[in-house]
Amino acid sequence: MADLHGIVVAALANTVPLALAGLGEALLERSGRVNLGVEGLMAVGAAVGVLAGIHLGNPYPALVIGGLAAALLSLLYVIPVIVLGADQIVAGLALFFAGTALADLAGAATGGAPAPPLVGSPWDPVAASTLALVVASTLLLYRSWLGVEIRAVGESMEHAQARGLRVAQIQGGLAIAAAFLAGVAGAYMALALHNGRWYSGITAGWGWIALGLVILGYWSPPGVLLASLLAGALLSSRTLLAAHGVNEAIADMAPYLAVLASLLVMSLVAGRRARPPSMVWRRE
Amino acid sequence: MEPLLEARDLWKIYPNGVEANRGVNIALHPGTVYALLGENGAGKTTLVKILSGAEKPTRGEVRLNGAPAPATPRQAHQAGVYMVPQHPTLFPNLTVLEDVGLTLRMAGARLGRAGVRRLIEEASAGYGLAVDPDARVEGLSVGERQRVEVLKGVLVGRKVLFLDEPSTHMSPSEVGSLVALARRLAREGRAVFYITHRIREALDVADKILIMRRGRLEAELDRGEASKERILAAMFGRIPEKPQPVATRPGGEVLRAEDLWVPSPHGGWALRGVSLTVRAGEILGVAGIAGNGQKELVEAIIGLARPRRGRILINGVDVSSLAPRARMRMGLAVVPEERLGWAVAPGLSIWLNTALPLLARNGARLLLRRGRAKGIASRVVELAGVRARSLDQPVETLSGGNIQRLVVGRELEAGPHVVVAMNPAAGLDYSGASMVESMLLKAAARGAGVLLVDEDLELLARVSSRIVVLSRGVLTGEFTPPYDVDAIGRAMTMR
Repeated sequence: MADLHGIVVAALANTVPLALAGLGEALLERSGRVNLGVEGLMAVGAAVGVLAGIHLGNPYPALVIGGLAAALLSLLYVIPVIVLGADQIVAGLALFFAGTALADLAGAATGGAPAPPLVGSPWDPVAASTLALVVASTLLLYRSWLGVEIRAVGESMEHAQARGLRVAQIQGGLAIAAAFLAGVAGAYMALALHNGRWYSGITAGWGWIALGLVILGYWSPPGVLLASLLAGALLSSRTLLAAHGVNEAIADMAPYLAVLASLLVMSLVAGRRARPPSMVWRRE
Repeated sequence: MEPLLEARDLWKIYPNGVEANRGVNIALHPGTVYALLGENGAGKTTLVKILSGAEKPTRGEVRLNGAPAPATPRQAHQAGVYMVPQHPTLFPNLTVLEDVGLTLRMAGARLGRAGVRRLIEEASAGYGLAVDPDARVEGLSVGERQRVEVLKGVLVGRKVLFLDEPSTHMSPSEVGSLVALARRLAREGRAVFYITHRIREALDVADKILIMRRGRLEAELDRGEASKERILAAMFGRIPEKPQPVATRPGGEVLRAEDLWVPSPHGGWALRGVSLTVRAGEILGVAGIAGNGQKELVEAIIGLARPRRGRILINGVDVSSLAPRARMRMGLAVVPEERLGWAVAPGLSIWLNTALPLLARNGARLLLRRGRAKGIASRVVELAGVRARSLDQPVETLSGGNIQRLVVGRELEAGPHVVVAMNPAAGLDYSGASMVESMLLKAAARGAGVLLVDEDLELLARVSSRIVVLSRGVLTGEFTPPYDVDAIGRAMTMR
């Protein structure tokens, strides 16, 4: 029973960073832009977060500082893509590589020392804030005029421009906000899931998973939260399966197969109302 | 009386050297409906874009109430100047309320959802523009979307309302109410500026008819003094020849559709048991308002959509399971609605666009013989009267009319048994449209059976040997000459 309780707690703790990163990216993609650099942003958030935690001795401001570092780094995406019109796919990939390298640079400065860890409980303030963010961004997207503007921009940048909407400000603002959330997610991974210790590759591809969760959650905040819960549970079940003597390789595979299956189910269940924004993934 | 909107000596010269407007003087007074007529490329759209703040003139200036006119659409909206675009530019993923609200807020109104809803409902009831505020735009037909655009024009264009070819997607009775609406808005004190290429409509709607030709305002006629002949003379410098229907005796059946059922992407059926036949030497016109199954009918016949039930025969052979290219090899020629991307490939040269489809019909070859291909292309270009600088120029650098000449010329070059054309003259000026009409008539005279699906009832009545009406996926009537246009119009709205 203690085993099961541990797994549920781990699953919920896993959900927090996935949901934070996925939520930001979902909002950005609703405005018609994709940032493939989420993994790089999370890596920087993790390294800078641990570094800040060591210096400040308190994990909460460290989370914020990790987020701010990622937001700063996202200018490498915002300026070329949104201001200068460069290709968003190339810029996103560049951001991933740059972020990973910068994270190793910053992380090396920790010298392997731990920061004061966050206690990874589902009732911690970060988890509560994540839930509040889901509610707030749902209201923002579907009940506010700013949300209408975001969705309009994501449908046709050209028509939005012609109507006088501030396309660049909307997309740029969301890209920076999304990067902040990704940075917080990365810092949370290090401070809560890994007891405040940094090591190279600590984000373990979860930034890429978050990109997939946006699709699985059909670009809607509650959808992303559900998808993150599912992925969080699956990622922790891997340990359980392996512990029960299931073949390692199959245990490794299981989360991904389950994601594929749920993607299929979601696309059958979701009506046309839930279709993706039409500008997303478009390269002009 | 002081004009509301005034422009003096407007010039617009684009970076590529095209002089779209050459010294236009214009003054719009409140309480008046203006109609702007002119060929494609005459500079109508440029003029309206400048007047409505969407573009800046190279020289000259626009004044609104004596002050410099707004320089962006947003400022124009705030000043009560609005342009209803030819093709609705609503956001498909929003509801009508959200889309209208976005425009109203950009125009400076500080409204919540309830306020927007109230305005929509008031204008909807007051001006007879039935729209459902909670409908999602992507579920609306093009005609319904246009109604939303007109509604926005009523709400935002409180001083000057521009309507760019607003009747493009409307049935005759809808055009009637639009004309009445335009006149009523003018009576209420606005200046209404109505752009059209239909002379009949201009005569119905306008107090003043303005005619543009080659970037200049060629004539300004008052309601009383305007006539079709004077207008044509001002538009073209001469009265162009009208295509004459060719009397032919229909021969054997070349195309047969039996009981076609095609599902609609919005759920339900787009076609519900449509059967028709086309015989050699005749033009069968299919009338109807856009979105009543026309697209699906054409797609089913050319092989882009697979009907759930029913079959299609070309020259008596069942082609229901064949791919489009196989059907073309059996003598099917297609003039699709969208030219760029469907009929021609943008970025490729004229000669490739002309010769490749023709050569492909005779079976694919490994090597392209450039000389032979160019020979074919130059023959088509000459026969169809395409005005091109060179065969090597990219096809999209031709004007719309010339692209369509090329497409129709190419399709007829193959000597087809069946020609399927959808809105082939849409967006073309008078001379371009006449050319397309006479080419279709010529094809029929040479023994092809033509299926002409078109929204323009006047065009159908001019060239068709028979007309059937498609409404909500079923054929609601069949007509023979002389045509009773009113009866056809009624069949178009029949359920």
